[in-house]
Amino acid sequence: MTCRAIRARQAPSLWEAAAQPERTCLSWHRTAVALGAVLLLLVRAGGGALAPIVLATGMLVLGPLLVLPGVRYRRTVACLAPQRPLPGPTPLLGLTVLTVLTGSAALVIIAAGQPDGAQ
Amino acid sequence: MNRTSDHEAVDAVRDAPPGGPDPGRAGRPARRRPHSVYDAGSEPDPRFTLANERTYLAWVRTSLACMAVGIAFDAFVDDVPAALRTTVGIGLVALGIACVVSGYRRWMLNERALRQSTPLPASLLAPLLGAAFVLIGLAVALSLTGIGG
Repeated sequence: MTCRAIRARQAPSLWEAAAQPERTCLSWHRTAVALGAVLLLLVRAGGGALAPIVLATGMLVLGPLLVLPGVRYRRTVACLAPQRPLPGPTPLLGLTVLTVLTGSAALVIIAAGQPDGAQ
Repeated sequence: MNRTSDHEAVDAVRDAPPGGPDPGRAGRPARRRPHSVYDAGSEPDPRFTLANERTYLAWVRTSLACMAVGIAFDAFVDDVPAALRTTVGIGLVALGIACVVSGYRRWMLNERALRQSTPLPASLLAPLLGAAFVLIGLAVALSLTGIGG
């Protein structure tokens, strides 16, 4: 192997950078699926009165959350070649708020006590 | 694009001015939010930014796992006293909320450190999380075996 080939192998390249948005996109998908699983568990554990509310809210937020990673992936890839800054952190803040709301709903359900038929 | 020019492209992204090179609609550079992050330093290597984002997402999944275990423990485990069940459930869900809030805060601190080329801040929550898991596991194990009464 020539010195030039060795240097080329050691140099960080845009090709390596371009593989990262895909991994990040998959990470977003895994997180969205995990949030969906927690919402379903919340519906199952919450039982009776809260179930339709949690389910409807979950469906409303999960749809965009499953579409968002693809859009963000395309925007990120589009930013790499022309050397533009990557997309901002608004989805990160949104996901944080969503997760805190899910946790708050879980706290309410647990504090309210286990409903009949939740087993 | 060959590998050398790829390397230069990555360096160019890293050396871009704060706020990005693209002008806004009014011709001024667009200021990104949160300002506490993006007003500092210069644009880092995009690989680092994406790795930071994946770390944040890993914190969110950890948070969701905590919540899931807390909800399931409260709803579906019958072999432990009700008080312990509720305490563990609420504790795990609260821990999950703390995880996600801390994860976002860490994302901001890490991104700021990357932009300023300073060392990343240490995580306080990671060891605390491990200790909390050990304590909760011990409490549940003692309860299940009847040692703790």
